[in-house]
This record gives sequence, structure tokens and C-alpha cells, in this order.
Amino acid sequence: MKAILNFFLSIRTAYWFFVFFAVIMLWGSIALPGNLAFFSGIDDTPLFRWLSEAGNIGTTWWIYGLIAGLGLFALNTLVCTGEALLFRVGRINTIARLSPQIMHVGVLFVMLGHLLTASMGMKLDLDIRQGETKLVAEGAAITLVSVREELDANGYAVDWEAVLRWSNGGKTGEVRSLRPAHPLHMGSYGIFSKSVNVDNKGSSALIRVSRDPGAPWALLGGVLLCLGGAGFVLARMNG
Amino acid sequence: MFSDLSAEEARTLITIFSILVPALFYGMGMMEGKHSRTLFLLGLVLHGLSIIYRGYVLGGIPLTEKHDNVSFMAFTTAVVYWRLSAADTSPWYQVTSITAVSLLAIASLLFPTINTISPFMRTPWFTLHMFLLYLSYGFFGVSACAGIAYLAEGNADRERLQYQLAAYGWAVYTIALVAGSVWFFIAYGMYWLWTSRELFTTLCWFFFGLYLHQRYLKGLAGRPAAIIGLLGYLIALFAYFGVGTIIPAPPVQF
Repeated sequence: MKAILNFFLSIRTAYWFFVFFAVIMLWGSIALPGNLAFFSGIDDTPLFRWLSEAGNIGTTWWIYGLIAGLGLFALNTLVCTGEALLFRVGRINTIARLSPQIMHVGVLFVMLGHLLTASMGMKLDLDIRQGETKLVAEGAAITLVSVREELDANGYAVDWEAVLRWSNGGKTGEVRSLRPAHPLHMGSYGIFSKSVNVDNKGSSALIRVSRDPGAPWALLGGVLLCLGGAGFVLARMNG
Repeated sequence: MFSDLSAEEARTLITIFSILVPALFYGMGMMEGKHSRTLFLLGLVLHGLSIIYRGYVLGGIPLTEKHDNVSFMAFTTAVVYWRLSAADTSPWYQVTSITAVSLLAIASLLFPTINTISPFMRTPWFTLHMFLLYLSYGFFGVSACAGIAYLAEGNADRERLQYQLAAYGWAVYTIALVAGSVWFFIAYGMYWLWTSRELFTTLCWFFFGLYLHQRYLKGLAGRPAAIIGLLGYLIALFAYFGVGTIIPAPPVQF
């Protein structure tokens, strides 16, 4: 038991995890473009469902390796952080010296976020014509009221707007404007504008509807990573 | 002669000169004598003005396409080097840093200027992501040069400088990745993509994490760690220049 604990407490273990992740990421970055058609749906489906449907372990093994490695890395992080907080906190004289542990906890939350997204996330792309209503989920629907597009002198889109009406359970909700990088939040869903097509014959908008239960946890992890990173620098400014 | 130029051609010409002239002054920073820092500083000021000019032409903060990004990468590397150059006069450190800055500035000219900003990029999160990302490249770049100086001269101060700058760079890079994830979620409803670019960016984060841990391991500290730190910068450069060219990264259909 002690040997296992020492293994997970060791900085050398963390180091070899970093080596492992670097190798796996390198492999993945080459494998992905090499099997583009196979991996084409990976971003549209929650990861665990995509993996179970995709099969072909010979091409996806590195993702399983990454998940397994991250699981062990989470254990390593948890043990290291626990040990540091339980036995070393008395010797810590500044908050900056806690920063590696804050980063560790941040990594754990980011991993939790990815786990929730990979298992329970939902993404749906809707191509809606003006005046059309499309069902999103659980009785909720979206109607595209109008579309506006702004082009520059060279004909590139510099801004656009899709006006939407949200209805839920037969009740018609308010009309709201959706613009690129300015999402709407309706219930537990996020609504994102991907593109619009303004045409004399009938305008349309491509809209992404998503529900991502992992995003708040990943964000919390990201904030902790930032705080820990800042402290990490402060702690090492002199050495 | 110049009266025949279209407005677009004139802007391109101004952009070329506004990079080449600072690069020349950066190069003169390698000269011996008390004026070398002044000449480098002049290059820095002119480079800063060229970035402001690009912002004026673009009508926004010029961090949205490769020419401006590489130019800004050179600028941050120059700023980090300038801040530390008074205290460290190692010839290896000086020559490698100034060469890196000049080469990066000139490399920006390999990419055409694009004068349109995608509406997806018009958010403070995107700007913050890009600003911090290239600031971290500045730290990583000068860190690598300090590493080369350490490997060549064996001075432990350089090794410490390499580590400190990599630590700053890693912290800034971490915040840049978080800001980038927030931007991507706001723009596209997801904070992670399975593409070679994302994987290489994450690889870079893990690699510098590896280097920062390696320095504390008996038998792997010192020269082996310095080489890993140097390799980290090459990986960071490859993540930017190599992914999409050497490793294919087809545009993602969002």
C-alpha cells in the first residue's frame, strides 16, 4: 500500500505522465488528419458515444490511452494535493506556495468537465429558413423570425443577426437576437449562430443548439489553473 | 513611380517596410558598443508603430491572422529580451535572442495581410487569448535563447533564467488556453475540438509542464532539462508554423 502511495506521490511519476501525454498527443495529432473521414463526426457527438459507435480500436486506441492516462494522472494529482495540504501546509508561509496544488485541483476540475461533456453533452445543428419552426428537445422549439447580414466592401461578412422566437411547452417566449460569438441561453441550452444566408428567395440561418453540463466545471478548473499559474510564477520568481 | 500603386498595393508596401526597418534595427542591436541597446530599442519602437498601423488598417486589434500574429510574436520576444538585456550581456544569449526576433519579424512577411476580421473574432476573449498566447511565445523564445547560452557557456545563471522565463511563459500560456476555451465556447458552443492543432497546442502545454518538473529530478536536471526546454520552444513553433503545413490541419466545419 505504501509503495503504491509513494508511486503516486512521486514527482517522477508526474514527470512520466507528462512524457506519456506528450507522446500520445503527438501520435493523435498525426493520426487525426491521416484518418479524416473516420474522425469526421468526433466533434458532433459526445466522445464516449462516438467511441462506442466508431469501433475500430486500431485507430482509436490512443484516445483510450489518453483517457486511461488521465484517470491515473487524476489519481496522482489527488494524492499529491492531499498529501501537500495535509502534511505540508504548516510549512507553507505564503499563499503563492499553494499554487501548484491550486493548479492540480484546476486540472481535476477540467478533467471532470471533459468527463461530463464526453458522457452527457448534446449538440444539434439546425438549418432553419425564415418563418420556419424547428423542435430542439423536450417540447422546446425555435422559430427564425428574420435575418440580417452586414458585408464589407470586398463582400466578406463582418456581422450578422438572426432573430429567434423561443417556445417551450406550447408557451411562446420572447423574441431575441442572436449574433456570432454572442450566444443566447434558453433554459439549459446554449444557442449559437454559425452562419446566415440572406437570399431573395428566402433567408436562412445555421444555428447550433448545445447542452454542455461539463462546461461550468471546466471553466472553474480553468479559473483555478489561472490562479495557480499566477501563484506558481510568484513562488518561483527568485529561484 | 509610387503614384501608379493602388491603395491596397501601397498598404502592402508600407507593411513590408514597417517590418524590414525594425528588423534591421534589431539586427544592429548585435553590434558591440554602448549604442547597441538604443538601436534595438529604436527597432522596438518602430515595430510597435507598425503594429499600431496594422490596427488602423484593420479597424481592430491586429491579432486575427498570421502576418499580424507572427509580427506580434516577434514584438513580444523583443520586449522580453529588451527587459532583460541590460542585466545579461552573454554574447550567446544576445546573438540568439536578436536573431530569433529578427527572423520572426521577417517571417511575418511570408504571410499575406488580411484586412477583414471575422465576426467570431470580435470578442474580448479572443483578443485576450491571442495576446497572451503570443506573449507566452515571447517568454518561451527568450527562455530557449537563455538555454542555448547555458548549453554553450555552462553558466548556471542562464539555466535559472531559462527556467524562470519558461515558468512565466507556461503560466501565461495556461491563461491563454483558458481564455481561448472560453472564446471558443462563446463562438461555437464547444470548448474542445479533436483536431491536430488542438492536440499540438495541448502537447506544448504538457511538454513545458514536463520541463518544469524535470528540473527537480535528480539525474535529469541541468543540461538534459535545458535541452528539453529548448525542444519545448521548437514544439511551440511547430504548433504554430508546422500544423497546417507539415501536419495537415484541414479547416473545421463548425
